Amino acid sequence: MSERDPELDALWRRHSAETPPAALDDAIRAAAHRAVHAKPSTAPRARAPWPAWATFAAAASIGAIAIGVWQLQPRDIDETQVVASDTPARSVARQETARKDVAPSPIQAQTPAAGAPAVSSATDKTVSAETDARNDSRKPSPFPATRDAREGKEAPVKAETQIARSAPSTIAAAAGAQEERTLRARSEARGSVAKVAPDTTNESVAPPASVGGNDTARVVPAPTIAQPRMAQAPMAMKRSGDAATADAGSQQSQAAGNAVRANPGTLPSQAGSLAAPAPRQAARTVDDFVDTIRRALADHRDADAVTALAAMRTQFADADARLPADLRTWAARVPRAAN
Amino acid sequence: MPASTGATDEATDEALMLAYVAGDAAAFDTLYARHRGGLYRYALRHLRNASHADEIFQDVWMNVIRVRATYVPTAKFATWLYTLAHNRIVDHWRASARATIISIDDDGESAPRDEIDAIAGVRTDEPEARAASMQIGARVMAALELLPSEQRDAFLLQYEGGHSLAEIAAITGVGDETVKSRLRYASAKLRAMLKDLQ
Repeated sequence: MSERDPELDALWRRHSAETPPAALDDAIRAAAHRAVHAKPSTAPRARAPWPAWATFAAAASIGAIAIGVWQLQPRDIDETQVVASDTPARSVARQETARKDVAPSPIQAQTPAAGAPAVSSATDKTVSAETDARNDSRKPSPFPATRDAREGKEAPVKAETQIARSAPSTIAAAAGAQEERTLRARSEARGSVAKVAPDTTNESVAPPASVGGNDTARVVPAPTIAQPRMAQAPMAMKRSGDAATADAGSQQSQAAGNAVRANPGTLPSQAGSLAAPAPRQAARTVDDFVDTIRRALADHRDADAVTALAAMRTQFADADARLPADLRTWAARVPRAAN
Repeated sequence: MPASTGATDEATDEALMLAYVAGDAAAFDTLYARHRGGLYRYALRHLRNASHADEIFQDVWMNVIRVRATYVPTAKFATWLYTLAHNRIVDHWRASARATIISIDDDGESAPRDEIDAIAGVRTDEPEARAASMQIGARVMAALELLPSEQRDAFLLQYEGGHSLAEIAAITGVGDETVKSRLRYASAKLRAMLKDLQ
């Protein structure tokens, strides 16, 4: 009895024809269409729709992060550069030089060089410190400003250490001579050393009367630079030991050769003073005294000349006899000190 | 109803449903047009209340739309659709405590005779002025309401949904023989109650 009864089926069809309301039909169809257009069921959406503002927000965030990182990295480098530029080594060395011109350091005055008079030693150390500081400021250094400035301040004391360090090395001495030549040329261009030299190194710089002109001006600084190294050589030898003695001598000889080759106008006597070995230091000192006296007299600074003569007499018993003939007459008029 | 192509009209329910799942909204319109009347009447005959029928009808179709992605054409679309409706109606009965618990072994053969008499009484009380169709229709519906719910459910699934015994068995969750028995008793009662109309 599973088949439909035709008569009952017909009766049923005639009287069972209700349909859902039209509003319900529309609602269901609209829901179906919305679902299809939104496509929620065809495939699960990989992700939520990306809002428009999210793109700008992401770009702004990335940009802010990039700018922040970019500012952080160069800032560290810039700080280093600022430090380097804020403390230029050259200006520091120049300030030190000017300060020493006014008043020599007590350390310099009170630290006598071995085998040298006090005045000469102080002057020589001042010039040496100045020269070394200037050389250091011109050297390309991986630690440019701070280290050079510090070394410039401590130059009078540190000069000995630097010389002691460089004394054993012949190559270093040659390089030092080369740097001195360069320094001399630059100093001439500035004129600062030429102005400073007569005041601060009265006793070490003494241009011969027979030499004049521009060549003289170029030669003049040579003793002021080379002599401190000579004056410091005994100390360097003492610190470096006996082995350093031979090296120091060869260094001075080579430096003198370089000086002569680099400056053809340099007098042989000055070249000798540039690279005089330690045993010849006494004879050279006499020359220095002579030069100092000559310059003092030429500048009408009689007191300085008398002081230099007194110092020479203190060091050399036969100082008057060692003087040239023209100065010997003048020295005869200067009374000897009581002691 | 929106216009649809001839190919869509000739397509099976399963093909239309798959087309709708793929995004063809017109396929849903065709599918809805095919089953809207039968499903609505199936709910209306069970609930005997138009507003409840509307609610259940809409819930069933919205459920079809919502779970369309999981639709697998392992059975006929109509079977799936009426299964959804059947379960929804059962839930409604349970919620409203109107469901009459009848044993599955009760084939309705012990239906009280006074109910059939009441149908006759309704028929005799019908005013002469009313249209004959409405009188007949009212009698038919009254006769259907006198059927036990299982017999009525099987009868409606066969006459409104057009399902076979196996499909009715699948929808209602009973065996084929049970469905066959329910249908036999339901038809016999209705013929007895409506024999003067045939």
